[in-house]
Amino acid sequence: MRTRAGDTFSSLAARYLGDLSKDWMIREFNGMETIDAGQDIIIPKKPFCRGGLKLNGWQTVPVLLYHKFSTKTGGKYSVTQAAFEEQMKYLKENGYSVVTLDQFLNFIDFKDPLPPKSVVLTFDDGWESMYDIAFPILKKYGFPGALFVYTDFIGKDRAMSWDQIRELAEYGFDIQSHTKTHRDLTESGENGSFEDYFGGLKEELIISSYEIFRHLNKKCTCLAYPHGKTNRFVTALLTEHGYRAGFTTDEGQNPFFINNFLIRRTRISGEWGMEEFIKNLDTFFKEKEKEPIETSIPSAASEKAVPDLSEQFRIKAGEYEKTGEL
Amino acid sequence: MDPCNKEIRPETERLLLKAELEAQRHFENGVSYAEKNEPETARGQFITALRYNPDLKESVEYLKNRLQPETFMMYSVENKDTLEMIALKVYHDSKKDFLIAYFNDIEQDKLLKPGTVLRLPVLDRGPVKEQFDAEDELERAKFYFEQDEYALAIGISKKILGHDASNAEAASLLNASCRKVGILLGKRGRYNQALGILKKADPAYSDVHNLINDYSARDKVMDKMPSDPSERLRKAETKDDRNKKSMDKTPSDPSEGLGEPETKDDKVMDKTPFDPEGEFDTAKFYLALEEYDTAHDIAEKILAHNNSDKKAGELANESLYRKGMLLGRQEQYAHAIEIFNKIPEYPGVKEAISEFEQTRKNKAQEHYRQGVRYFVDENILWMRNWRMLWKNGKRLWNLILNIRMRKKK
Repeated sequence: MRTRAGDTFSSLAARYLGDLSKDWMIREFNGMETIDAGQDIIIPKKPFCRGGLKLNGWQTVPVLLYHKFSTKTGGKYSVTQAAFEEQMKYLKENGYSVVTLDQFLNFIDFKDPLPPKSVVLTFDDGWESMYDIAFPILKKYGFPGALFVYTDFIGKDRAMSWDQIRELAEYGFDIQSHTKTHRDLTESGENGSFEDYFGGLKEELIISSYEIFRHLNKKCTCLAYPHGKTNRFVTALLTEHGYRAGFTTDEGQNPFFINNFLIRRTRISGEWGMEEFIKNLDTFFKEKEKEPIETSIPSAASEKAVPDLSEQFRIKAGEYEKTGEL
Repeated sequence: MDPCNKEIRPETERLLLKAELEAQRHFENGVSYAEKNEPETARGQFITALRYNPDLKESVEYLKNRLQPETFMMYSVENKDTLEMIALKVYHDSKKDFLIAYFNDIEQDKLLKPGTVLRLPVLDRGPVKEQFDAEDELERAKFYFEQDEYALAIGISKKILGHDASNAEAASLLNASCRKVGILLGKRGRYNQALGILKKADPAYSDVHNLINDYSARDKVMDKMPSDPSERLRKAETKDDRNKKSMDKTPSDPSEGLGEPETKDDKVMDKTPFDPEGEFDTAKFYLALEEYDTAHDIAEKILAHNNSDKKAGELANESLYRKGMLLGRQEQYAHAIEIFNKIPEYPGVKEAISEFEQTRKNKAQEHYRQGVRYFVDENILWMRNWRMLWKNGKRLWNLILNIRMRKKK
């Protein structure tokens, strides 16, 4: 299409893609930073660049993990109000997009792309300080997040109440399970039989998701493993119960091909300075220039084929625009 | 950019096709690297495949799930399988049958149809494990004994006794299993083999001593009997009935009360002189006793009767494999490789061959080096001798010269 005077990426996204937050897609696809009137521009109607897969590497998404907050001093599991404010401000000012859990899961399912610099914010346990300190800051910046609660904790001293959680959910928070009692799911106990262990696991999953359903009328699809620990049997049980993803506390970022039940999260410590925080925000993995892998076709041919590819998708997308196909 | 350009469409289609083919090629490369257990290289290939064709779902599946240790394994139900037996085979614990029921939405006591594929969760082993638990093993052995799987029962009992020779229960189970197999063989008129196995049991156990005497007497009679095998078997059969009665009188044996499979065998014997199933059981037993040649011979015999008997074929291969491995342990590599070459397709054989060949080569090199050293040593000895000779020769020569000179003077 040809742009008219007054068009912006957002207005085009709203008009053609039905969502003004998808402006980045048009910008990325055309490789432009600004729009002038009368310019030829392509609107990508089909998801392109799924999984953030580029020719020189792939996108990675940091999932940040917070627990408690404090107004005074920070600790390993507790971030100060000032530090959190500074971190959120940094994300906002440096072009990061804070995305919802759902968007992130669609990304790792290789369905939808995410903005190039995307971050997910998660909060574990359900501490009241999260509601008191972090929530107002998030509201200020308009950032979504996900809260993983262990249901035995809710309503206790220093924990959130279900009313507060409901408020978070109404704001747009995704409330998910962190089990019922926060026990280590890989520990089978000293003398307990396997049957007891299995029963215990089921209880952790079923009761916590039932509680969430009862209070918020919402089905649980994700689990944050207590202490970040899991094993293949826990994963099998989650699959059986229709879960979509499991979150560990293994540090690092997530490419689209991360296993859904081993999603990495970086725990933000209250003892960190800004430098350390920024160090953990890598959003792209650049592949090393490597010698071509042995294949039956000589490497020159495959190198040649790569530029063809991008060409082809541009044409393909252009055609969609022309014929109106989806 | 130009919607009216007619050349674009065919060109696009050509490129699309090309991209799809490239994607497929990289995907297949990825699969073969994954099979070769090179996940990093495989990953690169799957990612490239997705760059060419983002709709290649299989590639995503491989990247996300199949390059990781799998969460589930598939199990195809075999004949006579029960949930308990599957749990025992897969988890070494018959009590985990409820787990299989749970993950496959079936009732615990339901009968299973052979060929049904079950989805079994993989259990990670704890960090400490791999300890030998004699009690667990004994339970397994007993279970197999009750299932008439004497070969397995014997194998496990032997293992327990290897750890703890004074384990009375294991010893008694071993005796009971040997006795059982001896009787089974006796029923088939195979006194000679029955004796061989009975002699592996403690003669003081139950009626083993009597059985041995009885069978050896019959074995001698057999030799004088007509050579028609069916005739021989029928005679043996009538005697067996008598033997059974005498057996029933011995109350102390824990293996009593398992008469049914035996009577079933009897019926089979009546109709068909060659009993492939019975032969197969015997072969299995010999396999457990690590008498691979005998096991292999019996399996071959079954195959000679019925070339399409898969079980016998497998058993023949397995006995060859185990024999090869045993020879390998005894450092008889050439012989082991010779045996392995008969079954090149058997799982593990290729690796074993290459390993043995490597070890053999190393050994050969070692021998060669030793040989060279020996050779050099010998030669040095020789050279020393020559040098001595040379020195002496020179001296001699000088002496002669001197004498001559003197003479001339």
